[in-house]
Amino acid sequence: TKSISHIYSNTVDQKTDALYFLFTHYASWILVSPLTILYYCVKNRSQPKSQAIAMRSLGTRDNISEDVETQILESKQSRIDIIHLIKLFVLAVLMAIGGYTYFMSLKMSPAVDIAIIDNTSKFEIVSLLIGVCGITSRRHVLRNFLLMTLILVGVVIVSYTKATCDLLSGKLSINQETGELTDPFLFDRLKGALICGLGALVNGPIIVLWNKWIVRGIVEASDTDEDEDGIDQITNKNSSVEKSLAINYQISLIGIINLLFLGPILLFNCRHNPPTQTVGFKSAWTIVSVLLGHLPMLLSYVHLSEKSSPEFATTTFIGSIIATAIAEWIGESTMTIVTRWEVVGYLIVSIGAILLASNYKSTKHF
Amino acid sequence: MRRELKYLVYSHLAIVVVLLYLTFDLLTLAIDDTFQDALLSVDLNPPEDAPPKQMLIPKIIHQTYKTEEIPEHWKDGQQRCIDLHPDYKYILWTDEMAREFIKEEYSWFLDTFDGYRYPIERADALRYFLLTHFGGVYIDLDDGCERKLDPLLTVPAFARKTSPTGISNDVMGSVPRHPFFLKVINSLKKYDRNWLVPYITIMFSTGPLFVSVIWKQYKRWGVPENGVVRILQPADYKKHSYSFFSISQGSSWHLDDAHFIKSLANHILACVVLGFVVAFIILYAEYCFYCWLGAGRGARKIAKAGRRFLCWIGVSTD
Repeated sequence: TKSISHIYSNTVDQKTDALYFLFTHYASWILVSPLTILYYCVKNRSQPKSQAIAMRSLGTRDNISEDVETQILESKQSRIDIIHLIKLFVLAVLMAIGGYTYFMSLKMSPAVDIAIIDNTSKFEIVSLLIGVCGITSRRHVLRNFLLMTLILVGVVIVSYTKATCDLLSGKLSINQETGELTDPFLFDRLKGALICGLGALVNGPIIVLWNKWIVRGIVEASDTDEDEDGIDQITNKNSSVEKSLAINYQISLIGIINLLFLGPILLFNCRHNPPTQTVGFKSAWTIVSVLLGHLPMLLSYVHLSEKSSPEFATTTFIGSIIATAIAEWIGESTMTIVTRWEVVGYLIVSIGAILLASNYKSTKHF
Repeated sequence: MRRELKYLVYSHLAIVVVLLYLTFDLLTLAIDDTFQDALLSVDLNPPEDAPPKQMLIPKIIHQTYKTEEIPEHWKDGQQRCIDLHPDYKYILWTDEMAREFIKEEYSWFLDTFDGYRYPIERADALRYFLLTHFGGVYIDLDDGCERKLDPLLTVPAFARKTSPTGISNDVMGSVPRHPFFLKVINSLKKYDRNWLVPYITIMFSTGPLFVSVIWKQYKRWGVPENGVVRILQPADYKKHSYSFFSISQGSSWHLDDAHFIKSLANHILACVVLGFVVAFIILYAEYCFYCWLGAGRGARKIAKAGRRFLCWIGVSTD
């Protein structure tokens, strides 16, 4: 967030910039599967079965029989493939919508403002929808709700007190002579916050559909294997690795779909509105944003939702708010003034997030 | 998903759709398109050798006050308007004249006019009727004239851009029976609602928010020929050597709630975050309630309480 905000701070208003950032960030998802394979190769010194990963990711078995049954199975398989691709395409489009609003709003508002509203919105909608759609356990709902409320109170305190100490975040004065507002960025910030907050709501359906369409299929296929193979420690470990690889393989597929449909849109837009030169000059910051921000966040989210309950992964959104605030504090220490109440707000958010995470951690996945 | 939960989700989606429908005009204000119809420098400061343009708006200046006893701090501005425009007809509308005018010419509106809760609403409504009926230029008393208004009279209607979005009603001009102002006066009755907070009630029933919303509606399906409302930009309005007006102490109708609402702009992010948080708390509380009911104990307790209540009122003996 800070990296892209830094690039935006030196550019003129250009719509293609947001599309360019969307393309670079979402196309980078292609790297997720190779990176995961590389990680397991280095860790286990062996190469996982690629066919098994692909088959498991479709929620099907890899030991397909031959002869007469093969043709029937193949036709069934191709239908499953098409349905699966449509599901991935729907997810990719939804993600692109959410991503576009995020990059759009980042050019209107300061980075921490966007981090706050974006992650708050994601945290709320994901927590609510995974509960309502029955993806998570309904135990201790009230206790978790109280903790969520505590975190959100902390976020409100931070967002309220931030305005008193940051020029771009809401230092506004009213001209006593005319009664007019003298902050030229007021309306941009309002638009930025609303576009980002509403756009981030699309992440709720994304997470629900991701869990229902993709993760559940892979987990069920994995469980069937375990039932058949018997659960010894080595099989269990291999199954877990393959499950992880299969999920990350899906992320890469979404990355490819994004590449295929965002690429032409970007090219078409560039013909009329080329991205600003600063975006090109500062492409190193884009790489920093992708490799040190976007991909690690994605990998951590997927890893957490694999290893623990899906709601546990929602705490990464709160972590992201705190991380952005720390990044700003480190990166712009000379320009940032932190007030006492802002610190209190961050403390409430941090403590609430830790307590909520420890509550969620005890909940079993599926 | 269970059936009752589905109904819950659908009912909430329906509420969201209704809310979107009700607030659609307000939401459209988020897109600030006042530049599209801006009065350009070439319109307001034409070159000396350019042929003179025809003046469409009648040379009348309207101002309003309770009585003819105008407060001292507005007298200078008022006098400057009169002195700069000797060829204009100047009318100061008092409360008494205003009511008489509405009674004579727009009797269908008299009940609403008399029923307004705040005097400023009457003053707001009056200016729209004056412009529709006589045409001319309406100027708030706290807006003193700095230069001749002639360039503004060359367009069929104008208003000024306000911050952060929309148009204001403190300086406006129009030809008689301009379609925009006709729409404004025809909408006044519909928007006469009490929103409990005085500032919001005034702003949304007759004030700048009302006129901005009507302006958005007016533009939505295309503007009739010669019906465009040109927008005076902030720099042409005040505080520059070429501006038409200067401002003295104004906003006399602002109460404490207005200052509070304006102070919220200091914390715009907090306002948006709070909105999201409140919505989440309401929805998640409903979900908690649903889980409680679904657990069985809640439903049993409610049924038991219901039976006790029926016994208590004598409907049942069990």
